[in-house]
Amino acid sequence: MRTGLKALLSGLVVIAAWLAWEWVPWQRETAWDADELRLIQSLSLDSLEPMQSDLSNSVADSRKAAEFGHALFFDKRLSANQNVSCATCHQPENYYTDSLPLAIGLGPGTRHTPSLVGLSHSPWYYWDGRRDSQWSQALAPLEAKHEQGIDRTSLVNFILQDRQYLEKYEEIFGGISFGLKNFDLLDISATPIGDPHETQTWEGFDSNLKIEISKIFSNIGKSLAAYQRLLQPGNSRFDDYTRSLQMTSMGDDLKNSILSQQEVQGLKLFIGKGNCVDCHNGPLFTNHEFHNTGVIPLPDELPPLGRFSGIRIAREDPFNCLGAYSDADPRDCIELRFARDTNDMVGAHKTPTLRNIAETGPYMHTGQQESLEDVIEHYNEAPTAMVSHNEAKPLKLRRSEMKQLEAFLRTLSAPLATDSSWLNPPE
Amino acid sequence: MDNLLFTETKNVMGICKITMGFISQTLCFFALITCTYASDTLPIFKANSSQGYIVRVYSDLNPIVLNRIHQWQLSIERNNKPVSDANVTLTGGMPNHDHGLPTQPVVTSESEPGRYIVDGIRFHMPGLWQIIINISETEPLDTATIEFKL
Ligand code: HEC
Ligand code: HEC
Repeated sequence: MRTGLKALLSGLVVIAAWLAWEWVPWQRETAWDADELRLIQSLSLDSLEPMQSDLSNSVADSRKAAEFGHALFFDKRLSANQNVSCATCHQPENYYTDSLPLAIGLGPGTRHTPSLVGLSHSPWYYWDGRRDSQWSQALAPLEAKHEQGIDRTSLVNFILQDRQYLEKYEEIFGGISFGLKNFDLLDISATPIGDPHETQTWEGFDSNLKIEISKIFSNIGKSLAAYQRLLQPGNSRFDDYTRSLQMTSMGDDLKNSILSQQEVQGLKLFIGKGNCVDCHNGPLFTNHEFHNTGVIPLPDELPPLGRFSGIRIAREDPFNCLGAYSDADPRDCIELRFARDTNDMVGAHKTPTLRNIAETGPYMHTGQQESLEDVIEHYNEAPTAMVSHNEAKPLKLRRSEMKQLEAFLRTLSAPLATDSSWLNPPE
Repeated sequence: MDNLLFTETKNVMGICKITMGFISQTLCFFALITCTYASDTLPIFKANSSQGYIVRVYSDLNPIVLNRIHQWQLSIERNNKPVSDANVTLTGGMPNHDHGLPTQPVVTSESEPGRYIVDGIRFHMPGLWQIIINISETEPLDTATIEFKL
């Protein structure tokens, strides 16, 4: 009996010690060394470089094109059933995501909807980087059968028939050619990438008509891109903290009132032991590159090839930087020309921004992870990848550290820096 | 890495810490450079190869920052003479992570004798980077290696 009690007691002590180890946060020194300070400043919005111009899109920074794109972004008539727009999935109130694991347009999709905020700084688009500009990206959901499903010919016809749109279009891109104006596109569905009927009709068009239609189609994409370039992240509590660190005169009490101890410890893990900053670096918390992080595919699904196939598709895309509809000199298409396509790109996906991350769940390319807690759990374990290899290594964080990391991620939310008139449909 | 020679110098690049060594097994010269200052017209790195090539690296992005694609120019000389028409290639990665460069940089032209243009270079992670410059003329391949921290 005595020994039984002893065993029970020592068992309890062990359990208590383990619980304390896992759950009780350690208050460590929060003094930053020079390397840490440099890393922290590199994550601040103050370090965000002015957006690079997109040489493949001559209207990328035109206000008129952004206004046109703004209207198109919210217009549900740009879909086969008149009921789906870009904003159906990229909802401004949700930082241009949809809160769903997998997107739903005309039909169920196969990927999770990423945020569009700050995205224009990226040279590559989609989880697998299969587009090299924001304008060539915009063309895909318009025609995709499970998204908006409006073929390019019907879309161009719609713009030509709508007096307001046509006026705006011609103001930005110049007059529509006489040939096209007089060609009756009414009720014709045609595109090179549609169903057999649509592709057959497209094949029947003469080559000039194909080019004219694709030209207008590409200009619609360029306007949608101009609009999205205005969607920029706002100043978060973390950014206030980075600024406070530069003010030597500011007392520690004041600095600590911006971020809590727990959040500061989380930042320390983010740039240190957690290795997060390897990939989530720079002011947008992304290196815009492709990594295999061992995210497990959905049940019944094969692991996707990721960037390995993405870069190959981007090179074949007729709307890429080197294509006929690009405004760039081929010499300027540096990203496309020097992109890596080797085997280590198998299963690699684009690093997403972590700005506003607490507001944009669920997470990962197929929405596999429901919460930030799940994501951190995933990194803590770093499971073996099903294809190629997981670049992230197990972290062995304690429960309390995982909480700290999560607390830090929650400091990255802020209202957009974009004027609210752009965040609502134009009247 | 066992038979490295270490030296620390101050040179044209400003306050730099240079660690150089000779690895006999792989016949390559090796320079670990961490700079705190660099200017536009001066090389940001310099490395020597075992067969006496001296490579100076100029960057159009200076200082080098993460995630920006940019151009390098390599000035290559041997015996105080520019090395022309050599076959120059460049590879690299992070020795402490098992991965290479995020892009496939290419020597696209020789702008003047001994000056080679490298397009499409980018670094995407903070930490130690290693770039290996392979030079071959009529003689067998030789390499010069630079290491630096971002
Ligand atoms: C049915 C929902 C849906 C609609 C409608 C939709 N998108 Fe998306 N969008 C997604 C999903 C899902 C992805 C990710 C797909 C992938 O990577 O394979 C995505 C990706 C993107 C990306 C790339 C994001 C990144 O991180 O690289 C951009 C830009 C974008 N969409 C803009 C638009 C625009 C502009 C429209 C309207 C023309 C639009 N989307 C319509 C769901 C949608
Ligand atoms: C090796 C590069 C790499 C490292 C290291 C890394 N990440 Fe990621 N992260 C990614 C990639 C790539 C994705 C997208 C993966 C996917 O969907 O398949 C991602 C996705 C995420 C997401 C989900 C974002 C979204 O919008 O769906 C969060 C949150 C996140 N990472 C946080 C972290 C944290 C916290 C750490 C450190 C513990 C970390 N990451 C370390 C590359 C990395």
